[in-house]
Amino acid sequence: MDTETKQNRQVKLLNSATAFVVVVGAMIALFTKGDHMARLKLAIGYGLLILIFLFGLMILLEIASGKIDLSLLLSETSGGASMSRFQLLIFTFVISLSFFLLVAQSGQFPAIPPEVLTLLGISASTYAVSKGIQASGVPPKKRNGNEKATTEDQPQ
Amino acid sequence: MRSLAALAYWEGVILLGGFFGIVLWKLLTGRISLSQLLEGDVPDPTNPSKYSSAPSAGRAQLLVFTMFTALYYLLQVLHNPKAFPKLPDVLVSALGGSQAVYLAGKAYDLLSPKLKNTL
Repeated sequence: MDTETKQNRQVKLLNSATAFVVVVGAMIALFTKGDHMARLKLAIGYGLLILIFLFGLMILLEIASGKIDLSLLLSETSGGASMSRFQLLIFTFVISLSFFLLVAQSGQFPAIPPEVLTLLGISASTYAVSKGIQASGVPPKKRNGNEKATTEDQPQ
Repeated sequence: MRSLAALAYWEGVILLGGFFGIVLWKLLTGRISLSQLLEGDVPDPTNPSKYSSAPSAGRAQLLVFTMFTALYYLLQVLHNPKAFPKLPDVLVSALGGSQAVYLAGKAYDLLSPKLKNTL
Protein backbone atom coordinates (compact mmCIF):
# COMPACT_ATOMS: atom_id res chain seq x y z
CA MET A 1 0.00 0.00 0.00
CA ASP A 2 1.53 3.35 -1.06
CA THR A 3 1.79 6.33 1.26
CA GLU A 4 -1.04 8.33 -0.35
CA THR A 5 -3.54 5.46 -0.09
CA LYS A 6 -2.50 4.91 3.51
CA GLN A 7 -2.98 8.60 4.35
CA ASN A 8 -6.39 8.60 2.63
CA ARG A 9 -7.42 5.56 4.67
CA GLN A 10 -6.31 7.23 7.90
CA VAL A 11 -8.19 10.45 7.04
CA LYS A 12 -11.33 8.41 6.27
CA LEU A 13 -11.00 6.55 9.58
CA LEU A 14 -10.55 9.82 11.49
CA ASN A 15 -13.55 11.39 9.73
CA SER A 16 -15.69 8.30 10.49
CA ALA A 17 -14.68 8.38 14.17
CA THR A 18 -15.45 12.11 14.45
CA ALA A 19 -18.81 11.68 12.70
CA PHE A 20 -19.71 8.79 15.02
CA VAL A 21 -18.84 10.89 18.09
CA VAL A 22 -20.88 13.85 16.83
CA VAL A 23 -23.90 11.61 16.11
CA VAL A 24 -23.76 9.94 19.54
CA GLY A 25 -23.37 13.34 21.25
CA ALA A 26 -26.31 14.79 19.31
CA MET A 27 -28.53 11.79 20.09
CA ILE A 28 -27.76 12.05 23.79
CA ALA A 29 -28.36 15.81 23.78
CA LEU A 30 -31.69 15.39 21.98
CA PHE A 31 -33.20 12.30 23.60
CA THR A 32 -32.17 12.35 27.26
CA LYS A 33 -34.20 13.92 30.04
CA GLY A 34 -33.14 16.82 32.26
CA ASP A 35 -32.25 20.48 31.84
CA HIS A 36 -30.10 21.83 29.01
CA MET A 37 -26.85 21.96 31.02
CA ALA A 38 -27.18 18.37 32.25
CA ARG A 39 -27.84 17.14 28.71
CA LEU A 40 -24.90 19.12 27.35
CA LYS A 41 -22.61 17.69 30.05
CA LEU A 42 -23.75 14.15 29.22
CA ALA A 43 -23.31 14.66 25.47
CA ILE A 44 -19.79 16.10 25.88
CA GLY A 45 -18.87 13.38 28.42
CA TYR A 46 -19.97 10.53 26.17
CA GLY A 47 -18.42 12.16 23.10
CA LEU A 48 -15.03 12.58 24.77
CA LEU A 49 -15.12 9.06 26.22
CA ILE A 50 -15.83 7.52 22.83
CA LEU A 51 -13.19 9.67 21.11
CA ILE A 52 -10.51 8.78 23.68
CA PHE A 53 -11.48 5.11 23.44
CA LEU A 54 -11.18 5.12 19.64
CA PHE A 55 -7.77 6.85 19.78
CA GLY A 56 -6.55 4.39 22.44
CA LEU A 57 -7.89 1.42 20.50
CA MET A 58 -6.14 2.57 17.31
CA ILE A 59 -2.82 2.81 19.18
CA LEU A 60 -3.36 -0.60 20.82
CA LEU A 61 -4.12 -2.22 17.45
CA GLU A 62 -1.06 -0.62 15.87
CA ILE A 63 1.11 -1.92 18.75
CA ALA A 64 -0.43 -5.41 18.54
CA SER A 65 0.07 -5.60 14.77
CA GLY A 66 3.68 -4.39 15.07
CA LYS A 67 3.20 -1.13 13.14
CA ILE A 68 4.25 0.66 16.34
CA ASP A 69 7.43 -1.23 17.10
CA LEU A 70 8.14 -1.91 20.80
CA SER A 71 10.90 -4.46 20.22
CA LEU A 72 13.61 -2.04 21.40
CA LEU A 73 11.59 -0.75 24.37
CA LEU A 74 14.05 -2.19 26.89
CA SER A 75 17.22 -2.15 24.80
CA GLU A 76 20.39 -0.20 25.46
CA THR A 77 22.58 1.24 22.72
CA SER A 78 25.05 -1.57 23.38
CA GLY A 79 22.43 -4.13 22.34
CA GLY A 80 21.39 -5.86 25.58
CA ALA A 81 18.36 -5.16 27.75
CA SER A 82 18.57 -2.16 30.05
CA MET A 83 17.91 -2.64 33.76
CA SER A 84 17.10 1.06 34.23
CA ARG A 85 14.45 0.93 31.53
CA PHE A 86 13.04 -2.31 32.94
CA GLN A 87 12.65 -0.92 36.47
CA LEU A 88 11.04 2.28 35.13
CA LEU A 89 8.55 0.15 33.16
CA ILE A 90 7.71 -1.92 36.26
CA PHE A 91 7.15 1.13 38.49
CA THR A 92 5.12 2.92 35.81
CA PHE A 93 2.88 -0.12 35.48
CA VAL A 94 2.47 -0.51 39.24
CA ILE A 95 1.67 3.16 39.92
CA SER A 96 -0.70 3.50 36.95
CA LEU A 97 -2.55 0.31 37.90
CA SER A 98 -2.82 1.50 41.51
CA PHE A 99 -4.05 4.90 40.36
CA PHE A 100 -6.72 3.33 38.17
CA LEU A 101 -7.88 1.01 40.98
CA LEU A 102 -8.13 3.91 43.44
CA VAL A 103 -10.07 6.12 41.01
CA ALA A 104 -12.42 3.24 40.15
CA GLN A 105 -13.03 2.49 43.84
CA SER A 106 -13.50 6.02 45.15
CA GLY A 107 -14.90 7.69 42.05
CA GLN A 108 -12.76 10.78 42.59
CA PHE A 109 -9.21 11.97 42.01
CA PRO A 110 -7.11 10.55 44.88
CA ALA A 111 -4.59 12.57 46.88
CA ILE A 112 -1.07 11.63 45.76
CA PRO A 113 1.27 11.21 48.75
CA PRO A 114 4.95 12.23 48.56
CA GLU A 115 6.01 8.56 48.71
CA VAL A 116 4.57 7.92 45.26
CA LEU A 117 6.32 10.93 43.81
CA THR A 118 9.57 9.89 45.51
CA LEU A 119 9.27 6.36 44.13
CA LEU A 120 8.65 7.55 40.58
CA GLY A 121 11.31 10.26 40.98
CA ILE A 122 13.97 7.76 42.04
CA SER A 123 13.03 5.42 39.22
CA ALA A 124 12.97 8.08 36.50
CA SER A 125 16.18 9.74 37.78
CA THR A 126 17.97 6.41 37.63
CA TYR A 127 16.84 5.98 34.04
CA ALA A 128 18.00 9.49 33.10
CA VAL A 129 21.40 9.16 34.81
CA SER A 130 21.90 5.69 33.34
CA LYS A 131 21.18 7.05 29.89
CA GLY A 132 23.72 9.83 30.48
CA ILE A 133 26.40 7.35 31.56
CA GLN A 134 25.63 5.13 28.59
CA ALA A 135 25.90 8.07 26.20
CA SER A 136 29.23 9.16 27.72
CA GLY A 137 30.89 5.80 27.40
CA VAL A 138 28.90 3.97 24.74
CA PRO A 139 30.45 0.71 23.73
CA PRO A 140 29.73 -0.13 20.08
CA LYS A 141 26.68 -2.26 19.38
CA LYS A 142 27.46 -5.94 19.83
CA ARG A 143 25.86 -8.45 17.54
CA ASN A 144 25.43 -11.57 19.65
CA GLY A 145 26.31 -11.34 23.31
CA ASN A 146 30.09 -11.50 23.63
CA GLU A 147 30.76 -11.76 19.92
CA LYS A 148 33.61 -9.43 19.05
CA ALA A 149 32.72 -6.31 17.14
CA THR A 150 34.45 -5.52 13.89
CA THR A 151 36.38 -2.34 13.22
CA GLU A 152 33.33 -1.00 11.34
CA ASP A 153 31.49 -0.89 14.66
CA GLN A 154 34.04 1.36 16.32
CA PRO A 155 33.13 5.01 16.87
CA GLN A 156 35.02 7.44 14.67
CA MET B 1 -24.15 10.05 35.08
CA ARG B 2 -23.83 6.59 36.59
CA SER B 3 -23.71 4.98 33.15
CA LEU B 4 -21.06 7.52 32.11
CA ALA B 5 -18.90 6.46 35.08
CA ALA B 6 -19.45 2.78 34.24
CA LEU B 7 -18.47 3.41 30.62
CA ALA B 8 -15.31 5.27 31.74
CA TYR B 9 -14.45 2.36 34.05
CA TRP B 10 -14.75 -0.26 31.31
CA GLU B 11 -12.89 1.94 28.87
CA GLY B 12 -10.02 2.16 31.37
CA VAL B 13 -10.11 -1.59 31.93
CA ILE B 14 -9.96 -2.33 28.19
CA LEU B 15 -7.26 0.23 27.29
CA LEU B 16 -5.02 -0.28 30.34
CA GLY B 17 -5.53 -4.04 30.39
CA GLY B 18 -4.92 -4.22 26.66
CA PHE B 19 -1.71 -2.22 26.88
CA PHE B 20 -0.36 -4.21 29.86
CA GLY B 21 -1.43 -7.45 28.19
CA ILE B 22 0.29 -6.65 24.91
CA VAL B 23 3.54 -5.58 26.60
CA LEU B 24 3.49 -8.69 28.83
CA TRP B 25 2.76 -10.94 25.84
CA LYS B 26 5.63 -9.37 23.88
CA LEU B 27 7.95 -9.83 26.88
CA LEU B 28 6.97 -13.49 27.27
CA THR B 29 7.31 -14.30 23.57
CA GLY B 30 10.67 -12.53 23.32
CA ARG B 31 9.49 -9.80 20.93
CA ILE B 32 10.68 -7.32 23.55
CA SER B 33 14.07 -8.75 24.33
CA LEU B 34 15.24 -9.26 27.91
CA SER B 35 18.52 -10.88 26.95
CA GLN B 36 21.56 -9.59 28.86
CA LEU B 37 19.29 -7.94 31.42
CA LEU B 38 21.62 -9.05 34.20
CA GLU B 39 24.84 -8.48 32.24
CA GLY B 40 26.81 -5.26 32.35
CA ASP B 41 29.49 -3.90 30.03
CA VAL B 42 32.97 -4.27 31.50
CA PRO B 43 36.30 -3.05 30.10
CA ASP B 44 38.03 -5.73 28.00
CA PRO B 45 41.25 -4.68 26.24
CA THR B 46 41.26 -7.92 24.18
CA ASN B 47 37.96 -7.05 22.54
CA PRO B 48 38.14 -4.61 19.60
CA SER B 49 35.19 -2.72 21.05
CA LYS B 50 37.12 -2.41 24.40
CA TYR B 51 34.07 -3.79 26.24
CA SER B 52 32.46 -7.16 26.76
CA SER B 53 29.44 -8.44 28.69
CA ALA B 54 29.73 -10.00 32.12
CA PRO B 55 27.21 -10.92 34.85
CA SER B 56 26.56 -7.88 37.01
CA ALA B 57 25.84 -8.07 40.74
CA GLY B 58 24.62 -4.46 40.65
CA ARG B 59 21.90 -5.33 38.15
CA ALA B 60 20.89 -8.49 40.04
CA GLN B 61 20.43 -6.63 43.35
CA LEU B 62 18.50 -3.85 41.59
CA LEU B 63 16.18 -6.43 40.04
CA VAL B 64 15.51 -7.99 43.46
CA PHE B 65 14.83 -4.63 45.16
CA THR B 66 12.65 -3.45 42.26
CA MET B 67 10.50 -6.59 42.21
CA PHE B 68 10.19 -6.60 46.01
CA THR B 69 9.16 -2.93 46.21
CA ALA B 70 6.74 -3.19 43.27
CA LEU B 71 5.07 -6.33 44.66
CA TYR B 72 4.87 -4.84 48.16
CA TYR B 73 3.24 -1.70 46.78
CA LEU B 74 0.77 -3.59 44.60
CA LEU B 75 -0.25 -5.87 47.46
CA GLN B 76 -0.81 -2.87 49.74
CA VAL B 77 -3.06 -1.24 47.13
CA LEU B 78 -5.01 -4.47 46.54
CA HIS B 79 -5.38 -4.93 50.31
CA ASN B 80 -6.79 -1.43 50.83
CA PRO B 81 -7.87 0.16 47.53
CA LYS B 82 -9.12 3.43 49.07
CA ALA B 83 -5.94 5.50 49.21
CA PHE B 84 -2.35 5.30 48.05
CA PRO B 85 -0.46 3.25 50.67
CA LYS B 86 2.26 4.70 52.85
CA LEU B 87 5.66 3.25 52.05
CA PRO B 88 8.09 2.75 54.96
CA ASP B 89 11.03 5.18 54.82
CA VAL B 90 13.39 2.22 55.14
CA LEU B 91 12.04 0.68 51.95
CA VAL B 92 12.33 3.93 49.97
CA SER B 93 15.89 4.42 51.28
CA ALA B 94 16.81 0.84 50.42
CA LEU B 95 15.48 1.26 46.90
CA GLY B 96 17.34 4.55 46.48
CA GLY B 97 20.54 2.92 47.76
CA SER B 98 20.09 -0.01 45.41
CA GLN B 99 19.67 2.31 42.43
CA ALA B 100 22.72 4.32 43.53
CA VAL B 101 24.84 1.15 43.72
CA TYR B 102 23.71 0.14 40.23
CA LEU B 103 24.52 3.58 38.80
CA ALA B 104 27.88 3.78 40.55
CA GLY B 105 28.86 0.35 39.21
CA LYS B 106 27.79 1.25 35.73
CA ALA B 107 29.62 4.59 35.82
CA TYR B 108 32.77 2.88 37.10
CA ASP B 109 32.70 0.20 34.40
CA LEU B 110 31.93 2.51 31.49
CA LEU B 111 33.75 5.69 32.43
CA SER B 112 36.87 4.53 34.33
CA PRO B 113 38.85 3.51 31.17
CA LYS B 114 38.19 6.94 29.66
CA LEU B 115 39.20 8.69 32.87
CA LYS B 116 42.40 6.62 33.09
CA ASN B 117 43.28 7.54 29.50
CA THR B 118 42.60 11.20 30.19
CA LEU B 119 44.73 11.21 33.34
